Amino acid sequence: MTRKGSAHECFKAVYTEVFPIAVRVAYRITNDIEVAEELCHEAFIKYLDKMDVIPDTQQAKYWIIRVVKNLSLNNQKRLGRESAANRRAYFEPSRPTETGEISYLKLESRDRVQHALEALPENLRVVLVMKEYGELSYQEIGAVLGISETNVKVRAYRAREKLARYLDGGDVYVP
Amino acid sequence: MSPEDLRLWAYLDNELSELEERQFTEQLQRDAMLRNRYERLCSVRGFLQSDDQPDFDEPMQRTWHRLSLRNLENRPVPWWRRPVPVPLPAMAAAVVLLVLASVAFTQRGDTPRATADHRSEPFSSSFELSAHVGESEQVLQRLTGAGASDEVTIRLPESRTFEFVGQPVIVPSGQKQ
Repeated sequence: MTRKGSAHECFKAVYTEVFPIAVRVAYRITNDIEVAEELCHEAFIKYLDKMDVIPDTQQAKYWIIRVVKNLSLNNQKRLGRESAANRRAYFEPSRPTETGEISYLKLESRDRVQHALEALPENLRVVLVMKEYGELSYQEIGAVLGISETNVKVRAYRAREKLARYLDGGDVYVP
Repeated sequence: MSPEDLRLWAYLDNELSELEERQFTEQLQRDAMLRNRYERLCSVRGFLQSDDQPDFDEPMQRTWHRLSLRNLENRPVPWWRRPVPVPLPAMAAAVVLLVLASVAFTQRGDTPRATADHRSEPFSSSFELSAHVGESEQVLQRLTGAGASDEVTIRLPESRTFEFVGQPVIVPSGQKQ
């Protein structure tokens, strides 16, 4: 799809379509909604500078998601260099207000989901996050990562198999 | 990864055609082992979706507001993409000058050459004439006889060595002709 109309209209169209995907991907990699928001903001500023050279909205979508993914992984690597104690103190997401046993189980599940995702190798995790949370098709993930659709399927399969083995080994609350 | 695994995931991802989906559903009902695997994979998906997603609408609006503060229509353009206001006559004159300069440059290095076959044509003093060594006497006669040349210069390649035959003669500059 090629771009028509003013720069403002084009940018808004791309933003409306891509931001929800980008922020979900960033959130699942960083596990922090504020950091995810910042990274998406940074990615869209980069896109503003590159708008004239990115030919259409579809390419723009792939480009922005790729930038967000890279920024998120870089952020995680930077955080990884900090101590785990600092990370928990400063970057732990806010807890929901729900109380009771369900709330506790959900909290535990969220921690386990994040832990399970972080245990996956980076190349598998990124594919799974884009598929499960970004709701991108295999073809779109391939376009974002610059790999073939078959390769994406293989990675998604391996990631899910690893997760299945992880689930087999523990008592996890699945609503 | 077996083809059945691929189909199983394609079924979960809603990537099968309507017919394939119907066939696979029937197969699931018949095959207990396949159903077990399907339920196991469903639990993976359920696990991944088990935690509450935060509200993404607010960050989306906030980021849009921050981005809107930048003037999208008048965002800075790099210097190499800025239009340069040059009047058309000046541009045309520059093009003509450029063409003339290039023509003059290409013709400067071209010295006209002639071979012994072009002896009858008139030529200027800077004209080069190529002839076999055995014909040199004839060429000199023709040149001097026609009055076409006052001076004949023979250039010898510097890379080669020549032997003098006979004694060198000193000719005063006034008697050069």
